[in-house]
Amino acid sequence: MSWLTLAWSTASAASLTLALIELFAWRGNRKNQIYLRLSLMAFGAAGCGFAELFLMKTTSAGIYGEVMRWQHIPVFVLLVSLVWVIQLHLGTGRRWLAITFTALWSLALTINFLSPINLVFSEITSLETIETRFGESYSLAKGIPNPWVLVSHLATLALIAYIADASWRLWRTGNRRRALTIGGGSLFFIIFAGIHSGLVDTGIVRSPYMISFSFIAIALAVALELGSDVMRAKELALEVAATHQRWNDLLATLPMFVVGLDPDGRINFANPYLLEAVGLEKHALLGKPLESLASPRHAPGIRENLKIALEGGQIPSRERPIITAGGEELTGIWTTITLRDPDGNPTGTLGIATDVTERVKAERELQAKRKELDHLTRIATMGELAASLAHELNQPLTAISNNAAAGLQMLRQEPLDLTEFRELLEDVCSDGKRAGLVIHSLKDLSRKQVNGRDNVKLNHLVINTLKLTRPAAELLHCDILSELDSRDPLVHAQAVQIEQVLLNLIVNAFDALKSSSTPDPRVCLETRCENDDSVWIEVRDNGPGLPADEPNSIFNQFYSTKQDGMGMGLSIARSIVELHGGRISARNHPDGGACFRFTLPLQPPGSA
Amino acid sequence: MNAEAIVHVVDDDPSVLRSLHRFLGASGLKVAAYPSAATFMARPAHDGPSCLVLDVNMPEISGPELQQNLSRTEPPIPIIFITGEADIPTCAEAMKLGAVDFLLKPFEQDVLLERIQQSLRISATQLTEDADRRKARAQLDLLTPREREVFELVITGMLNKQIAAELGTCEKTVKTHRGRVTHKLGLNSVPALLLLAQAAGDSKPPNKP
Repeated sequence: MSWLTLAWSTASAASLTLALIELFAWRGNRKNQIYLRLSLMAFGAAGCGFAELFLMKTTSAGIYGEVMRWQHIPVFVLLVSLVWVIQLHLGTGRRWLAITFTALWSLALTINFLSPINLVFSEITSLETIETRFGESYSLAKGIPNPWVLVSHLATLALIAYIADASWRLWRTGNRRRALTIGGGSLFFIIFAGIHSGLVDTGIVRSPYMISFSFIAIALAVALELGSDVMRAKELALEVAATHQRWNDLLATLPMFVVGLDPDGRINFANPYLLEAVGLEKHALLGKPLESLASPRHAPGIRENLKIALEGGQIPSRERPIITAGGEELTGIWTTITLRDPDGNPTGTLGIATDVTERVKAERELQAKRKELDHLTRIATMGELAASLAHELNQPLTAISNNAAAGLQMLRQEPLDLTEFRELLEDVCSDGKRAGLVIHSLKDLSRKQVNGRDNVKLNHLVINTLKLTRPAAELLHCDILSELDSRDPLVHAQAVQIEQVLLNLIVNAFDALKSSSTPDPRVCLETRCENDDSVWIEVRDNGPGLPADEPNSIFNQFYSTKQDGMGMGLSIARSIVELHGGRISARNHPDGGACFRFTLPLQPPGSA
Repeated sequence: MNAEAIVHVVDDDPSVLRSLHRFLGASGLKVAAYPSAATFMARPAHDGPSCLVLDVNMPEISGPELQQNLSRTEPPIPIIFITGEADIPTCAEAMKLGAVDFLLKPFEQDVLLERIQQSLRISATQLTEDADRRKARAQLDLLTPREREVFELVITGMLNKQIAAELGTCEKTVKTHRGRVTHKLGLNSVPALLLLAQAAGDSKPPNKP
């Protein structure tokens, strides 16, 4: 039974197969050096195995020595490949050790071919044939050892040091399994092969050389380890594919505009929602400059932003329109993300936007309607004013014209009744004055300077004013809260003017809440007796508050934070409050929002 | 009918009232001025032609309210409304109730004078018609009930024979009654009798149902 032949040829054939597989793997992916190195390692193991088998079977000492000399080539290939596989695969080996080892073995190989027999023997004295227990016999040489074999032993020590060091460092990084299988496994088999072949060389142990088996084990261990890498890579690839699919599904169904730009500002991505919205096919848009989507007045700004993004800057969210195939503008609120390659270099940007076209349109329409309403209200007020003016002026004008007509009639009569005529003219004068008074009172009305102060119940006045503002509050969905002093404070004031101050403060609060689109808008009114002498009224909102610097400068004339504001309202309010002997102040409330407070002197109760 | 024509003026605004009084007086009209509807209602009786210059907007009783009150009393008086504000429903209602005009203050005095003259003419006509009616009725009141029945049928143009059949009597009796009617009224032709009936204003329509 030729079990030795069977075992060695099977092991060698297996190595060869492995070598070919790795070679094909390398051919498929030339960038991955690991396959080439593994393939060389397996070729080495296979060559070594076949040489060992040959050694076992030869009966000529001359051939034995020569085969052993040539066997050093596959051993060299195997060991050098192993070192460089570990160097690449573990990544923790010291490069100088790997180079030292390679150099030592190159030296050993040179010595091997310069020696009379080979690196192991300087002379083979006899060739012993040994019978094994299972019937097959093998040859084993006896001879004088070559002292230069020491070089290969040094190389083996360098190899052991290299692998031990690399494994230890890998172990410390936490990758213990790999350190153990590759580092530990390699070390074990190298030490075993080294000791065993040394013992066989010196004739202490009588057994065939088994270097090939050790190295087949190492090659298998590395290949298996690498196989698990391949498996993991496959899993990662599947994960990446799933993520990719998820993103694709998301982008395909997302009801938002998504546009990718390359560094030159060309469109390299557009999601279906955007394509449908602008009415263009994918191929009609991809590769086109961003100007084919952006409106001409915004395109330069977008290019500028792209430049900033590529330089690593942040782009704030912006409201920008895109132009459809039909020339229509669709408004989006755009967020720009910088895309990067795995090395972190910017490769372009991705803009994502919510479609707010409808909202913007609705807002514009509402604004237009509001303006129209304001205009109509003004006209209606003017109309009412004109009607009351007409009525008030009609009476004296009628009287004057009647008197004038009467005077003309009287002049035709002889004799002229001078007493009667004087009375007539006096009446004309008084009616003229009366007409003048109408005009004056109208002027006063427009200045809101109705004469006369009264003792006014402040809470009552506040409630009246709130009634006036209710429609506006409902339009804003604004809550109005009031907290009125239960002592029912009495003030000596001109109710219309104090109402005007309150109205101004409340309308200001509404405007602030409206322009800031504060969620859950709220206005709080409070009246409180400070002491026996004065009472304060506070109007507070939960809007954005006042400009931080100089909150009281808002009371100056012509100071306005509103686009269409005259800057008169608060200035008038202050003069009214001060005419009443009070003070007005503004501050930002600690809980947010603007807070206006004015005081009025208190009347003693019961003086109403 | 020899009483003087008079123009009544009602306005709550004293200066308008006084100026109107002065102007109309200077224009040769007899004027009576009242500061309210109530004082006008309490005016002394006047036999001659008259008209009313009436302000629309007045406290307590307004112009149109006074017009409604007056429309229920005899004789009707022509009304010229004066107002500071043109209010179409009020104006329409006033015209429907027979107002002569609706003038906007301040108005053309000539237009007012012209309307007043027109109103006084209407008033005079009304007074004449009124007097004629009273006279005709007084004459008709002289007839006995039977004579009145015969009269009513005569003016429809019936022959004595037909009247007798209608009243269930003989032709001779009808002839006697008819003779008495013509004697009492002093009119012996059918057209003259018909005119009298019309003047009285309560004659039955010529075609009997």
